[in-house]
Amino acid sequence: MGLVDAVLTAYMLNATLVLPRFYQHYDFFENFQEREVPGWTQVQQHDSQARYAVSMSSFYDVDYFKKSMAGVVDTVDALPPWLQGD
Amino acid sequence: MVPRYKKKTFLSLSSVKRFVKRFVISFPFFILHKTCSTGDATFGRLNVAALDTSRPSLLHPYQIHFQTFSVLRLKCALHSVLHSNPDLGWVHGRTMLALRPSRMVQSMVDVVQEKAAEITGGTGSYVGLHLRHEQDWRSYCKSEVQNDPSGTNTGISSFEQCFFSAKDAAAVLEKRQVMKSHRVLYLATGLLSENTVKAFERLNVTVLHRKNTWASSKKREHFHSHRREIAAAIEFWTLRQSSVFFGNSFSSFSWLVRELDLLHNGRLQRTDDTIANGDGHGTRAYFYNQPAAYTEHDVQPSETIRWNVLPGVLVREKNAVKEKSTASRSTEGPPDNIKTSWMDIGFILIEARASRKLQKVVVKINGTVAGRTIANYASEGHWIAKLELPFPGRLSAKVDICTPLQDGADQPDTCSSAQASSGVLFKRGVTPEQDPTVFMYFPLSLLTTGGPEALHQLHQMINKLHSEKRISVRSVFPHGNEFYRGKHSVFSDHFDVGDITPWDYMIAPEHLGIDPVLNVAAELSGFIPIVWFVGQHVTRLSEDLPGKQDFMRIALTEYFATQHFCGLKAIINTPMNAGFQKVKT
Repeated sequence: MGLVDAVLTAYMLNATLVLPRFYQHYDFFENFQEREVPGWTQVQQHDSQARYAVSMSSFYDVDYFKKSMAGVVDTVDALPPWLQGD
Repeated sequence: MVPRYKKKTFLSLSSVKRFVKRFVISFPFFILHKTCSTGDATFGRLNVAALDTSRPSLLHPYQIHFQTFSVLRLKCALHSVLHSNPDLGWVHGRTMLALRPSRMVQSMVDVVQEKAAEITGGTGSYVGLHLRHEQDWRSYCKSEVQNDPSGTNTGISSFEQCFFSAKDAAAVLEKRQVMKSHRVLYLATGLLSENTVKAFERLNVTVLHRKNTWASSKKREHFHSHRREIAAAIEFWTLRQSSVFFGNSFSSFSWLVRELDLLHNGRLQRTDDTIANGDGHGTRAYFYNQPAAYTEHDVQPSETIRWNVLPGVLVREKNAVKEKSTASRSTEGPPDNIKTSWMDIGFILIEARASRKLQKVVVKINGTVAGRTIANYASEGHWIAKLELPFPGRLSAKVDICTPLQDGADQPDTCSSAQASSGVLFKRGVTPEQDPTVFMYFPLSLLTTGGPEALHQLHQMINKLHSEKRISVRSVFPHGNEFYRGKHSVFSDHFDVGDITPWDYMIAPEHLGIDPVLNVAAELSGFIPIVWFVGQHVTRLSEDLPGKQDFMRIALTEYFATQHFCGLKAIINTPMNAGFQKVKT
């Protein structure tokens, strides 16, 4: 749903939409051992780091998304370097 | 080399860098939690960047600001404006339909279909079931029922309606004879146990789930190496591509499956005809915790409340124009949907709230529409009236709204005619050729409070909409300050008869209360428009002036947030404001 809000806002502002990266977090109430995922304590410690975010293409067909949204909002995969800052 | 982009504004939604670099504006995505209290944990994902002390983030001041008081809740006012705007409604539908699973996710879904094909001997059809019966869901249902026993805001009337165990869900499938024509069921749940599976195996079906589906597959490691979100995505598309889907009507996960179903079948009608055709992969989506007839028709009133799918959203006009022009050149004749593209879902919602604490509001709706009497409706504080009515056409019904004395509040009939305001209610958006006007109402006598700031901020945003010719804006401010004036806005200090039409919006300060606003509107126009309230209770206007250091333009306060059932959504502070001004110039 947040993605739709994002597109709506970009559309309204005539802005270029930077495709989101999807943050993957662990649900600490679940049994991680069962899921055989190592290193969850490290995840907890470094929850905010970029390496736990994946590109939109992990979830969605990005090419299809861009093609479908052409003419509605302009999209780019990432912010240009001169805007990225810290 | 610096890449060249056509536009100067960028909207970054990266989960790590969730802020906008050059165009800083409020986002509803910043803050996911409803509560606003001190303590880092309540800020949810805002913490992701803001609390990394080794790398101070630009989000940090936002957080501080949010902690203080300056909060803009888009959902109740502007957010609703956005989502009920025909053009943006069209974009919403188009965005949803632009989402397809990635190749990796699809390959995992294919495994389910192959398995089902093996079992069924070719068809590969299966029933998808989303069973929400985890511990967190149990707690959620309990709290929802406790907080809103009547279910007015949540739609949840009882714990049993919200929480279904595996046995309960299996009983529903059995009663509705769902498995009569299907031999395979895919079970998506976060709490998978032997007993859960057995509950469905009693229906003489093969139960597939995440553990047994990929166990013998080469892709097993692929599945297990991915985290919770991707595993959820795989299950989402597995359910989406099932022949029949059953879910929990109060789960957003289930709703998204149904929403896609509605969109692909053109039933939500938030898209143009091309998109509405979708991929032809309509799912029959049902809810096991709702009556069978619940999903047979279009989106239900309770769904619109819960998921912010506003009724009365129209297919945008330019599509209709385009269709006509295309039709004139086409040898196949005009498309059938020119006339029907203006949607009518078949019900309307009227929503308002009382601003006075501890005072009940009784809403009396008296009238007859299409031979049916509209029932009275009464509630405390926030009220939503749902009218299921035959459309198309203009609804004409008498609406009485009154605020009786507290001791008589339990009795709707105690409203005297003297206390009531009344008017004719129309369905918003029925007349597409009429642009809505957003009225901002603020009487001169209330200038000593901070309310105007909230309105001004909202005004800026609405000006953006207006500049793109999506809405009309007229502000009823006694002091139409040049600072806030947009080139497309009109200031006036009084309403005229005929100014307000039934398809208009009104935004009024929260503390003004519902009656004066409705009285003004009703008396001048005879109509009761859609009304939203915004307000500010913390910063006095004299302390919150443009040019002052750390001037905070907005806002809607914690008090406001706690009095509404929408979540806190976004914030605006000095750097955001600076960005705003930069773009404006």
